[in-house]
Amino acid sequence: MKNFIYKSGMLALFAGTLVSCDPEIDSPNPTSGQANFETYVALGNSLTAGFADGALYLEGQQNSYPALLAQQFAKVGGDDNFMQPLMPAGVSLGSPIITATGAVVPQKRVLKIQADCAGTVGLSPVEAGERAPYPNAFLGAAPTQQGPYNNMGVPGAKSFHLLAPGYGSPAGLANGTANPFFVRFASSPATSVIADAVAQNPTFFTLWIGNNDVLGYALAGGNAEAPTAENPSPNYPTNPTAFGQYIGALVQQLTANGAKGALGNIPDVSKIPYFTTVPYNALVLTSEEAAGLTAAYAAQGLTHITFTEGANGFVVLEDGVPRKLVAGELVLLTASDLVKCEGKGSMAPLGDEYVLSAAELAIIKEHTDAYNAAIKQIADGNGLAHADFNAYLNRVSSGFMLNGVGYNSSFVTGNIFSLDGIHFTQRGAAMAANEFINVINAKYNARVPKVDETQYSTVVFP
Amino acid sequence: MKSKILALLGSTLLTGTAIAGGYQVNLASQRQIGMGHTGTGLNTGTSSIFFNPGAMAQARNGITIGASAIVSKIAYEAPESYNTVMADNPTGTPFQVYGVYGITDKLKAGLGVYTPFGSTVNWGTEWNGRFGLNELSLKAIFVQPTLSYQITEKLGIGAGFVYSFGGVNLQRSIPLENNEGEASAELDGDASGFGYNVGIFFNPTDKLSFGLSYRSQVDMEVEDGTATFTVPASVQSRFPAGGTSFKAELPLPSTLTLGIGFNPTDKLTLAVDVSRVGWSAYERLRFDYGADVNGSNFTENARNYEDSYIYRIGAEYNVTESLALRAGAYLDETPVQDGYLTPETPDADSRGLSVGLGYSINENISLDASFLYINKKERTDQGNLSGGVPGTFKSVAYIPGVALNYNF
Repeated sequence: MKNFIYKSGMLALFAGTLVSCDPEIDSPNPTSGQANFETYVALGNSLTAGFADGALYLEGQQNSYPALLAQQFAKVGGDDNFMQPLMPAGVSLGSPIITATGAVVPQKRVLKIQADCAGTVGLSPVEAGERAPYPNAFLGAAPTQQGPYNNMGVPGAKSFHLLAPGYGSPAGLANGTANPFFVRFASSPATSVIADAVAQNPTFFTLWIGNNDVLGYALAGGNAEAPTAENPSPNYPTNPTAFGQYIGALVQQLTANGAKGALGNIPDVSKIPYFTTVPYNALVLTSEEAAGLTAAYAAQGLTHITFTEGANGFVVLEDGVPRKLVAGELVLLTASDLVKCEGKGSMAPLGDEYVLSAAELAIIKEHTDAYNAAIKQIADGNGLAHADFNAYLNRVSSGFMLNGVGYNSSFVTGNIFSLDGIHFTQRGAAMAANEFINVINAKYNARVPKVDETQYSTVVFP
Repeated sequence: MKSKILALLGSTLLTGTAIAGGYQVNLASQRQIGMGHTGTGLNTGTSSIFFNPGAMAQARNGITIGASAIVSKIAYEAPESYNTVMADNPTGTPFQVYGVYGITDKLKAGLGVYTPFGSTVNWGTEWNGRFGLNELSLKAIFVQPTLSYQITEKLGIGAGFVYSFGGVNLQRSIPLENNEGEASAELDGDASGFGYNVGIFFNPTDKLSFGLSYRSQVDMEVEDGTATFTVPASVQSRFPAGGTSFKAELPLPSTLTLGIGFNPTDKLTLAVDVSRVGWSAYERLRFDYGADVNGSNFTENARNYEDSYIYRIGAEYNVTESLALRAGAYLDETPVQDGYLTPETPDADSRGLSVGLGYSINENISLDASFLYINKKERTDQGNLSGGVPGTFKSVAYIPGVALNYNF
């Protein structure tokens, strides 16, 4: 018996030593491949800056896709001290709204349970605090980190803005040649975004610019004429030939010292929740309501506008002529209260600025395609990685599952887009970082570890 | 002594860890574990209740009590993460108790209590697959009263009735968050089921024996489980307040085994077993809730397991009258098809290597000890057809065990 106890004791000891033998997965080590991530600089717009929920604020910046890329690059030789023009905690800056009566700065949006315009209590995105005066709110939100800044993302910037000297000059704010977000962190009033970026002598860069070159037009409901000598029409999409030249000039400067990098292309902006949340035919009528509306329009001589029981296209006033929206046309998110509570689109037509017509969508597509052809050509011509965000948003739009979570382009519940319906959630930023990592790894034979996207927040519920 | 060991068993977690194909836990006898878990073609004594009720008629009257400790380790690496995380699995303690008593010379009665299925896996609440699974505990204890009859000197048959009881506890994160963190779900329920175990044993000569056994499928049914959901207040209305009931069914598959025993000398026993496990019964994992949960009163994920085979060889060598040394090996094919891998049972073809020893203290009392090492092949899967988690899994397990036999 003693003998046995001794033997079983030895067996247990044997087992004990084996317990420490963990299984190992045979995978290669991370490597930077042919890229050098020592100094990484990100150029772009609000998506790059970490703008989310309608504002720039600390948590969005800390989890911006460039910050997440830098965190992953640090595992393969990148500097782990990625500097950003961080906001003070608890402060947020939306894009200023400038009207004749004054200028205010919207606050970041949060989900709250409250009554909507029709008195229905439910979850809706609302601004977390009172709008702040402009430009004082910007002056009071100086960066909490010192420059130079690796993250050069400027909310609202278009392609050519990155090349523009004085884009960060306080004196240029009044006439619109400067951007208050860049004024916060420009190294001098005279500098440009590209000059501040190149001055850091980056070894690696990402450049994702051009969304605003077409988004501005879309956000205006396509309410902009093609520019002429007399009318610069700033909301009209940037000329594609000029766009290619701007991107070419930016890349030429960024690669002058041999830096490698990645270019992101432009998604189809008409697939973001800002344009897809209110269906064109969300006007659901009973047969009595339909008959009443048809009669009301007929009484004004508008006999071509008729309504039927069930779903109807909203009525829009286009170039002074009312008509019904047809399948494929889009209504902006900002119209949701108007159609819900003010009878717009039914009793009275919706303004053209709330609608993207088929013709306007064609202009958006034509420009987006041309921009993307230029970006692809410049990426290939300079040996740069090319992240196809256009294809990515198409995948999001169709919806997919990853790690047990569903992703799509739905507002609030789609997990990719934040409460402004345009910009990413932190989870969405992590996914964008992984899109970049995919193409960087492929282009430079690198093995930059992917971000665990599940560690980053989606929309936070109360 | 007996009551002390029983008390000890009662105080431990009566669970296995997912160490065999699927959630099967083939640890039915310490002597047989040492021999690669062969035994259908042998007279294995009291454990014939499990291995082959047809051989039980030849078993001596006696009682066996044994248990194993499963130390399992599962590594996981998300695609292109170049970073390995480990599941923190508690040590599982499957056990076996068998008693055999001769009613007449030819007719014997037996009772077995054992744990042929189970799984305990704990991935925690932070890994990237947490919306699939945080933690799963599956327990099944089989109670099998058995009769065996010696038809001729060379031929025995036996049959047992199986009552199975146990439970399931499943915890997962829900992809909804508030400022306090992520939402979560916990499903907990008792389960039970019925089945049978039949066998025929034929030993034409002293040197050769054959056995065929069939352990039926047992459908473990959860009739009235409790599902609770911790979610943000603003979406609470989409989840049943205070939880709801749920029903579920998990098939514990049938196993058909053909075994051969061969004694080339008085001192050496060799055994070979081939088993076909009816895993194709596990088509889906479905939970039916007593109330709507986020807009639906059920959840369902495909499993579509395939029937699989296990090939075993084992040997026992009697060094002296009182000491026996054993060794064995087996290959256990995975029932999980590509695309269906889940973190509950991140299964792959597994290889088992075992050693064991037996020591007879006297005519009536003997002890068995075994050690089994299981190594599953590294497996990379998208898990996209089962709602699983994409990535690479690798599992190993170290399983020491001991048993006491008392014969009279």
